[in-house]
Amino acid sequence: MSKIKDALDHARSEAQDLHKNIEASTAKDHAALRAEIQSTAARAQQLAGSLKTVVDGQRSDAKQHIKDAIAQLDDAAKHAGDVASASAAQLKELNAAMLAKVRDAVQSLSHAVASQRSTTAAK
Amino acid sequence: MDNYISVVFSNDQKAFDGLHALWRLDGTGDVTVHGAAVLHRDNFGDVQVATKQTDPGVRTAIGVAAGAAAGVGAAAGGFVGLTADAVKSGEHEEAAYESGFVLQNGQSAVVAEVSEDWTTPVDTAMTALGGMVFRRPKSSVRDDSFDPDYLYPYDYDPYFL
Repeated sequence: MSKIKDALDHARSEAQDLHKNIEASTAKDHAALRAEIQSTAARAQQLAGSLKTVVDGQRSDAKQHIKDAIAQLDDAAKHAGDVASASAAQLKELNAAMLAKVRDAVQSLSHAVASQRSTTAAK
Repeated sequence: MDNYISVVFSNDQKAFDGLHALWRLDGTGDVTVHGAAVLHRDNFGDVQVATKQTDPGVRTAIGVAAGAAAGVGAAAGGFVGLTADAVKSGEHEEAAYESGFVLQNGQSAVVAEVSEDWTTPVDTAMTALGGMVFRRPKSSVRDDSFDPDYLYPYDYDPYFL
């Protein structure tokens, strides 16, 4: 149980860190922003993949929150596919879209953690 | 239980301390904070959301939206809430109902969405810092009336432009 909790907490921290990075990227120039979006997308995809391993063994409500987070991170990662030919303005839009998706993922993971903590406290 | 909380403080620094204290409670697992921000109402009645010092450009835009989302501004007569309905309605009663608290000129507040099994940890920590806690169950807030986008999903060093 504690391993699952630790994995969830870690995933939430990782998603929070992704959110911070994307926000910080907003002020970067065209080339740097392009690289940052690609890097962030890779991290989002990696996080989504690692979350798939912690879904099992969760209570149904936490499980649903984690599944939502996986979908939201996958969505965020998809934005990197449009980066190559994007203009500066389009890159900023992509960055904003990624920020929104990762924010949703943080929220989902936060609710999964809350569900896990509540279950633990009730025992 | 999922709640929206607002903690009113007499000044910015106390609100900043309150924000950090809230996230410390998250760190110890006493509550789970889904998002939080510090608001300030200046002596002219204008309300600002504290940004991160590292990204003022981003939060300036979000802060403007938060003014509407938080139900703040002169039109709402000083009520600070969590929902846009308070502003849309233009009715003080609606604003008070939706927000549950009033932010006076010169005061600051921590606004947050939290999951808490009991209210004691937040109440104890915030009261010790001089804060007054207001709380509304998330289930009693209409889904379409709350825009949490201006709440940071992690602790940050608040900064007013």
